[in-house]
Formats: sequence, structure tokens, C-alpha cells
Amino acid sequence: MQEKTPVSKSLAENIARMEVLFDTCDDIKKKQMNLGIHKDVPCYLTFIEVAVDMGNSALLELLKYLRSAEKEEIYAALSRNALGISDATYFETIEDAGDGLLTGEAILFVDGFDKAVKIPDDGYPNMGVGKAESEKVVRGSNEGFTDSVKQNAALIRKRIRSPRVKVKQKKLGVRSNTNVYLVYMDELVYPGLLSEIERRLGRFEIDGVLDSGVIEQLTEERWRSPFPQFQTTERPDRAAMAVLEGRVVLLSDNSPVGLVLPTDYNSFIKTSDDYYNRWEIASFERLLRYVASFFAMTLPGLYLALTNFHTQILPTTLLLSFAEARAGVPFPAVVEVLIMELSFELLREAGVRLPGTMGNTIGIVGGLIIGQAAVEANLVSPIVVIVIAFTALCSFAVPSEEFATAFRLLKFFFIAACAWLGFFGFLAGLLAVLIHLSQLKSFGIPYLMPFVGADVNDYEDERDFLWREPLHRLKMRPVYAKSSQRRKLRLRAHGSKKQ
Amino acid sequence: MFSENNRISERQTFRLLTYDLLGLSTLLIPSVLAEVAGRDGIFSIAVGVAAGLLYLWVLGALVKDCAVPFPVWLEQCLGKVCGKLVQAGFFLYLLVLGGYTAYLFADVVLKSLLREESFYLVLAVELALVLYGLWGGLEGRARIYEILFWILLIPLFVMLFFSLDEIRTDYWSPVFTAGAGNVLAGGFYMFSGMVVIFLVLFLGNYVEQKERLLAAGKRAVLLTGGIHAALYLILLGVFGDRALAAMKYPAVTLMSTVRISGEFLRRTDALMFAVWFFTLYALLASCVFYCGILLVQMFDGCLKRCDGRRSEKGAYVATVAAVGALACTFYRSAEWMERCTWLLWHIGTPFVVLVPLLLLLGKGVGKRFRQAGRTAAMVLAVCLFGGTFTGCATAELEDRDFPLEIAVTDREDLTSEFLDTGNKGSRLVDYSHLKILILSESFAGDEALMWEFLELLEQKNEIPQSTYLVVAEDADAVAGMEESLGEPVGTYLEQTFENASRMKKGAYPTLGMLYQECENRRETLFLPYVKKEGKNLVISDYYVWQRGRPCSVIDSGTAQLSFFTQGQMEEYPLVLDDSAAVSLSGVHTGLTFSEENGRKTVTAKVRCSGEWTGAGTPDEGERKRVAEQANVWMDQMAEQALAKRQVDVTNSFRELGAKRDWYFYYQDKSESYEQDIEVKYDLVIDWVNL
Repeated sequence: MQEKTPVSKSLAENIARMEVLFDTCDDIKKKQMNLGIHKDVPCYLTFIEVAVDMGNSALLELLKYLRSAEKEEIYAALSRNALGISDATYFETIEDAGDGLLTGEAILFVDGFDKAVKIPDDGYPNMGVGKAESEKVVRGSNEGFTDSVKQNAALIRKRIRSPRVKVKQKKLGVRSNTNVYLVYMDELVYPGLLSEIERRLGRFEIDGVLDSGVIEQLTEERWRSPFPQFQTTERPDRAAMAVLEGRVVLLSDNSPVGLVLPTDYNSFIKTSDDYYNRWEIASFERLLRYVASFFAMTLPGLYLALTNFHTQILPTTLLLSFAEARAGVPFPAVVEVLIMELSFELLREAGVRLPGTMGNTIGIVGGLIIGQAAVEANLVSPIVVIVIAFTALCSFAVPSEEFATAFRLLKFFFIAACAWLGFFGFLAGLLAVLIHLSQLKSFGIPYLMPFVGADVNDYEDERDFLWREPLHRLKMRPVYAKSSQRRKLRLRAHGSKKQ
Repeated sequence: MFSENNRISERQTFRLLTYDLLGLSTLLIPSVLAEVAGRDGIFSIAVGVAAGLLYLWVLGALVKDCAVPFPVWLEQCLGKVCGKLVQAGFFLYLLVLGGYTAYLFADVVLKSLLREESFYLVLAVELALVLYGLWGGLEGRARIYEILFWILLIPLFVMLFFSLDEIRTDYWSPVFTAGAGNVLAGGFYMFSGMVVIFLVLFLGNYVEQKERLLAAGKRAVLLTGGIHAALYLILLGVFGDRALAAMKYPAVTLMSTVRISGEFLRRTDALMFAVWFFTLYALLASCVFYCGILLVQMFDGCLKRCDGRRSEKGAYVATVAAVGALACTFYRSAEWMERCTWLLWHIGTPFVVLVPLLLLLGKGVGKRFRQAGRTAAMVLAVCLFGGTFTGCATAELEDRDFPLEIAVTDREDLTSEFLDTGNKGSRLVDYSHLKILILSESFAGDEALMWEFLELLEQKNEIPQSTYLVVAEDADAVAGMEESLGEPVGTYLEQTFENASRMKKGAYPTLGMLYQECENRRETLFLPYVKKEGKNLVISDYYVWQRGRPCSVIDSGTAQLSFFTQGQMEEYPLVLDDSAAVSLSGVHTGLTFSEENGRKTVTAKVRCSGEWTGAGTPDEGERKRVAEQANVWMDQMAEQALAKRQVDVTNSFRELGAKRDWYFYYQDKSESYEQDIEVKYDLVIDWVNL
């Protein structure tokens, strides 16, 4: 067990120790001031910025009192625990004081007093955060990121209360001067990754950064690719999970969307509650999402290949019912599919732009009424409506909106390839996408990890890809973490008292 | 953290090599083996795999000492001029192999997926994909195969598993008939299919540990050999050696004949084509990749001005263009293709084997041998060098007609149905769901016409091989019964055949079986003879198709005995007299062949379960009497069929492999077989409910 450092009577020593402990933690405020009526008692107050309410709290009252008291009076009050706050806590070591700070309270060091005082405040729970609009989960936290970068960093800190979580602040945008935080775990992250991110952030100069999406697009390596090379999240627990995996979370002020990097295909398919639910159902759902991502891209194309080129694959009765359903439709199947796909995309776009309840109405009107009317007017066949609806369902099942857009776009590529060359076009398209994905990297990590290159982490990452093995077996961190820091779970023998 | 170090893992190497080995060889080798070694082809595979492992050992010994890329090492070992000549040899081999693979790739696509599409278009798409794939370098390629490996192999294994049901094990015997020479020749072809393993020489600098490279190569050879062995046994068991030898891409054909339980997918050949799509792509990409590397090394002096990556990309483009040109040449000129493939097999294979062997010998034995090795390599390279001198218009679903049954009565029908435009009115006729071919008796009885017909169908390749055949006196009348049956005749008859509770799936002959019999000439097939009876259709008799020829009509009872004897009936009801009725099931038949005083006897030892369905409960004596009576009855039926119709109900001819002297004797005298033999039954009933 690591030895703890006692709080010294010398304020300078304590400040130096706290600075070391919270090095590169730009979200933590550290203020030196002089208390007492004669301003002769130097002190040091430190707290997580958004977790402490300086305007209306016990802290403010305390500071008012200390500012107006005599030096001796201050020391006497400190030593007798007579600060007038019922649950002020005294810490004798720097590490304990650090832990106290990370609970969301303020810590006060006073020169000549060998204890740190934790002054209670509202702490994390009262920051007034909202719910995550996307990435909904059945089980798990409902908190979502807000527009304030400081609050977002604090939400991560709330989940990982360790001084090793570092928050590096950067300013981006020549005129907007937007605050950007890089949040990471000091001992887990590859130093090379951090410097590469900083290099890329310094590679451009822009007048304003109004959302993390701008940073994402300007720092992506293969910006022509439809696949995002940054994972986005609105969920603090997801971001915290990424930090614990050795990844870096990039938070931008005025944006409720954090960027997680590096990333891979598998990460986009995972959800937070994959780890909160039992492994059987989590694995089943993960597998379902993989299948959904495949069909979201290929189903309309496959339908065209099967009905226009390779009818021998379908059972006769199904084929004849397809043919019967298409009787009277004036357009070729490919035009029919395109009409329906574009209508669906239009409905989706309209639904997103309209306010909440109206958006839902558009969905119902579009889906039920227009769909049915189109079928009755013989503009499209019912089977195509089913195919498009199923494709849409599949695209909604992909947890990441950015990732799903890649499949939505590629779907049109597959429609064209299959309408032109049937199953050969499908295979050629699939190969082209696979080639593209195999060449894609996110900050040096192959996009298809751990389907490829799993040997780098001794195949441990394969425990958590198509399916998720029980948590008992997920003992190692993924490949993003430093190789010396890969172990994340150590099971103790039953009854062992070993710490 | 990952770095772009151009290194691949052992698993990636293994999968890359397996894909390189599988594509071309699984397409071509089975029919070549069937032609050269017949039923002994399996031994040829063993020989080929053993030779492949030996070859890998030689390559391994070279790779260990090869600290620089192989083309550079060649120049270091052999000197600049000789080194470049050998590089040119490898380059030409890979170029021709690439051209041939590209041609085959496009050809298989056209034959299996897009019959009416342009060859050039398909070729252009595949070459564009190759070029795109190579842009990512070796790491990118390796990742593709790493991810695809099980995605393709699992469905392949599943399909092979499903096809086990269709194997006729009699087609595997007799063995040891081909002779050692033929087995070795087959082994050579098998080895030629695996010789691409020499690519490990080039991979030496892309892997972390060279020992692991050889382990990966060994696993790739063994896995490929295993797949070949399984595939060959299945193909042989399903098609027979002669039909297999006559097929162009038997593995692809197999996928179109395998029936999957549940009928969720009617046919899977188009889906299973993905296996060859990706494996052929792998080999093609490998050929272009290593050709590019060799090209850069050969012209390193000229390319010094370019940076490495640019010159490599330029080399890929040039190679792809050359491969495309070669594939087009093969497509336009069969003569050129034959010449080049001959060079590939007979000069290319020895070249890629001898060069590493000579290099190894030269390295071990000393300068003198090294000089000899260099000379030999040079001669081989010169020989090889010298040797090389000598869519989119588919009809919509509703614009197609899907006939479920077709009646063929005379030559005119044959022409109008299949040779004309294929359009029924303004609609395109799509035969992919044809279920029944109804042949008129007069048509089926005309051997020449039937041959012409089968040849035409095989050539057009539009009718599914799983289409059932029936014979009728008036085929047109049967085909026109849709109204009275209340459903299409094709569906009605298909359901009758597939849902007949007593018959096993696959008992009724299909078009594919007739194709195979045109080559194999081993089977006696019983085509249902259908008759109109009131508003229904009934199977009144069976039309016998014996060893690829029309034979005669036999009654339903005799045909059922034959189905029972061959184990194609789930349940065989037997009513011997008023009180004795039994139901036989779970049959196992063993045929024995004997000859006494010039009289040849085939004894069918039938063991089955018997269930008493008559009145009362028989005692042991009664049971014995019934078994004897059944035996006598079967003997009589078999004798009558032989004497009157020249039909062997035991279908023993196909099992002649178990009697080698008969087998060879009747190779040219099969027409007298039924006259020469006598059939005896030896029935044993295990009573189950008594």
C-alpha cells in the first residue's frame, strides 16, 4: 500500500503537494488568499469548479467569517472544530484531502495548521444536468452531458474520483476562444496518443469552434470516409468508461457531445448497458446490433439482387407472392426502392427538424398513412414497404447516430451495385467496404479491431466483441490502454482478506 | 500502440495463405483429379499435400536465412543479372497465374451469377477492386482475410455437411484402379494447386518471427488439404467420377444441387459463390501484389527518382493492366489459354519448385553447386521466358413468367421452349423455379432425342438441377390439369414427391441425376409415370432409365421393391395374404456378388424392422412363415423384373466396385449385365411390436 503524505504546517509545502497530485487538472480551481482581519493568514482553497457554488453556500459564509476574524481566533476555531459548519471534515494527509476534493467539496489549507478542512457544499448531484437525448439505455444512469464543458468534465470526475484523471484545457478558435478539455487517465493513456491529438488540434486555425463536430471533422485522418473515426457520446458514464479503458475524451464548450478517441467498429456497436445487463442478454443484443448494422446497409440491395437476378434462391411461394405484389407497379424495382428510401429519409429529416410532438406526428403520418396510400395507389409494392421499414429499424438499432449515417449512405451505394450487377455487385460492394474499413484507422488503431490484430492484446479483446463474455472474464482493458496497465479486474479468492 | 510497420501476425499469415491456396484449386482440381485418378483421387490429394509440406520445409530453410526481401536476396545470392532473371521468372509465373485467375474469376461470375453480362465489365470491376485493395498495402489485405475467414468457411462447412445426405458411397469404390502413375500425376496436379505456398518466401519480411510464418504455412497447407479431401469425397459421392471429370466447376455445381432442410432458401449456389468470390480475389490480389514488388525490384535503377510508395503503386497499376490484358486474351482465345495454362502447370510449377530447391542446395554444398544452381535457375528462367512467347438489362419480377412445369412431347417443343428467345409473349421466361419436366413416353423413349435434350439443357444451364422428371403418355394433357387439380401441376407433383410419407427425400430422380448418368452410366433410375385419373394425377407405373438410356416401364410394386431395397423408403407395406400384413422399415441392404458354374448371382441381404399390421398376434412359427413368404415374394418380383423388363431392382450395377472382376468385365458390356445375373433376396426381419 502506498504511503500517505501528512499535511504539513507549511502552506507552501501543501500547495506543492496538491499541485503534483492534481497536475494537469485544469477543471480544478486552486486559489491562494489571505484571511483574517489583517490579511495575515495565508490559505489555499481548492475545489472542482462547477461542483461548488461560490455564490450561496456554507463556504461563502465561512470565508466571510474567516476574513473578519483575528489570526488567533482563526487557529482556535480550526483546532476546536468551531467553524460553525456541522460536517466539516479534517484530513491529515494530502491523499485524503485529494479524495475529499474529488467528492465535489472544497478543501481549505491554512498556513500553520497541519490539517486540511473539507467544507461541504452542494457537490455533484446538484449541478442541474439533463438527460441524454440519444444513446438511451434501459439500465444505467440517465445523466447526459450539458453545454458547459466544465460541468461535463465534472460529470466524468463524479464517476472516476481519482486524481489520476487529468483534464487538459486548450483554447480553439481564433475568435471564439472555445474551451476544449482533454480528459484522460494519466497512467493508462499512451503518451503518443495524447501528443498525436494535440498535434492534430494544432494543425488547424479556425475562427470559431461552435461544436465538437467541427473539431471532429478537422482532425480526422481519412475525412473522405463515410465512417466516423471519432466516437461521439452524450453520456458521462460512457465517457468515464472510455477514460477507464485508456482512451481520451475530448469535450468542447457549448457542445453536449463528447468525442471519444481512438475508436473502432466494435466500440460503435457497444452501449453502456451492455456492461450493466447480464452477459447473455448483452451478448444477444450486441449480436443483433451487428446483424442490424449489416442489413441497414445491404437489405434493399439484397432485395433487388434476389428479385431481379437470383430468383432461384427464394422459395417459390415467396417469389410468386413478390411477383404478385409488384403487379401493376409502374416503376422498375430499383426506382421503387429509391422512391421509398428517399421518402423515408425525407420523413426522418422532417421529423428531426420539427419540435418533439410534431416530429412524432410526422413519423406516424409518414409511416402509416403515406405508406399505405402509396401501396394502395400502386406506386410501390407492399413488400418494398416492408423491406424499407425493416432497413430503417436496423439503422435505428445501431446505437451511434454518426455511425448509422455511414450505413444509411452506403445503402444507396449497395442499391446501385445490386441493381446493376446483382449478387456480384453485392459481393463487390461488400469487398469494397471491407477494403475501406481494413485500411481505416483511428489514431493508429485499426478500425476493425478486434476482428483483426487481436494478437496485439493476446486475443483478450475478443472476449468483448461479437458477444460479451461474463464480467468475471473481462479482466483486461482493451488495446487502447498502455500494455503495462491492461489488467482491470482481479478476482480475490473466496474469503480472502487481502487488500 | 499500433504502428504502420508493414508487419502481419501469424493468424493473418495463416488466413492469407489459406485464401490464396483455396480459390483456384477447389474450383479446378476436383475435376482434374477425377479425370486423372478417378476414385483414387483422394490418394493423389494425400500425395499432393505431402509434397506441399516437403516443399514448405525447403522454403522454410531458405526463409530463415533471408534477412532482406526475397527479390533483393535473389540478387545477393545469384548476382545482379541472374537474380533479375529469376525475379523475371517469378514475375511471369505470377502474372500468368494472375491473368488466369482473373479470367476464371470473371468466367465463374458469368456462369454462376450473371449469365448475360459482359465479361469485360465483370473483369473491370474485379481488377478495380484489386487495385483498391492493394492501395492499403499488405496489412490492409491481411485484415480483410482475417475478418472474412470464418465468415466464409463456416457456411462452406455447413453446405458440405448438408451435402453428405446426397452422397452415394458406392461411387467411392472400387479403389486402387487408377494405377500408381495416375495417382502420382493427380498428386502433381494437386501439388501444382498448392504451389502458391511459395509466397511465404515473399512474406518472410512481413512477419515478426519467421518460425511462426512456417507454422502458419503448414497449417494453411493442412487445412487446404483437409478441405480438398472432404470436398473431393463429397463430389465423388454425389456426382460419380465420370460426371465429375466432365464438369467445369464441380464445387459450384454442388452448391446448386444441395438441398437445405426447411426450404427457407430454395437454392444457395448464388450465396455460396461468395466463397469463390473472395478466395479468387485473394489469389488475384496476391499475384498483383507480388508482381508489383518484383517489378519495382527489377527496375529499381529506373525507379530511383520515385519514392518507394509511388513506384509500388505504379507497378500495381501496370500489373493490373497486364493481368487484365491476359485475361481478355484467354477469354478471346481458348488456344492461348490452353497454352498458358499448360505453361503454368508444366513449366511454372517446376520453376517455382526448383529455384528454391537449387538455392537451398547451393547454399549448403558450396560455391561449385551454387554456380550450378545459378546456371539451372538461369536456364529455367530462360525456358519459362521463352515458353511464354510460343449487365443491367434485367426484366422486372412481374415481367417474368415462372413456369413450374413444362411438357416436352417432341422435337418441336424442345425448340420452342428452349431455343427460341425464351419469351412467353412479352414476358421473360425464368426457369429458375421449374419443378417438374413432364416427358411424353415417346419422347423419353427416343434415346437420341433425349441425349439432344439433356445436352441442350446442360448447355443452357437455366433449368435447376433439382427439377423432377416424370413421364406421361400425353404430357400436354398432364400439364394442362392445373384447373382440375386446383393448383399448378408442378407444385402438385413436387408436393406429392416430397411429402410422400413412405418415400425418403431424394428418392425420385432429378434432372441433375440424369446429367450425371449421361457420364457415369451406373444407376438404374425410376422416373414416375403419371396418369390422369378423374380429376387427379396418380403415379401408375415407373419409367426405367438405366445407365443413361431409356429402358422400359415397370409396375409400381416392382419399383417400390427397388426403392425399398435401396433404402429409399421409410416404410414398405407388404400384404402377403388376408391375414399377414407387415410394414417393413429401417432397412439395411448389403449386396454380395457370387459366381457358380458360370451363373452370376447377386444376393441382397436385407435386414429391416417389421411391424405386424394384420389381424391378431402371430406366434414365432407364423413370423418365420411370413418372413419366408416375403422372401419368396421378393425373389419372384426381382426375377420377373429381370426376365420381362431387364431391370435389376437391387440397382447392383452401381455397387460393382465391390466385385472388381465383374466391374472391369462389365465396363464395356453393361448391356448384358441384367441378362447374366440372377437376383436373390435374403430377408431378415427384426419384429418390433411383438
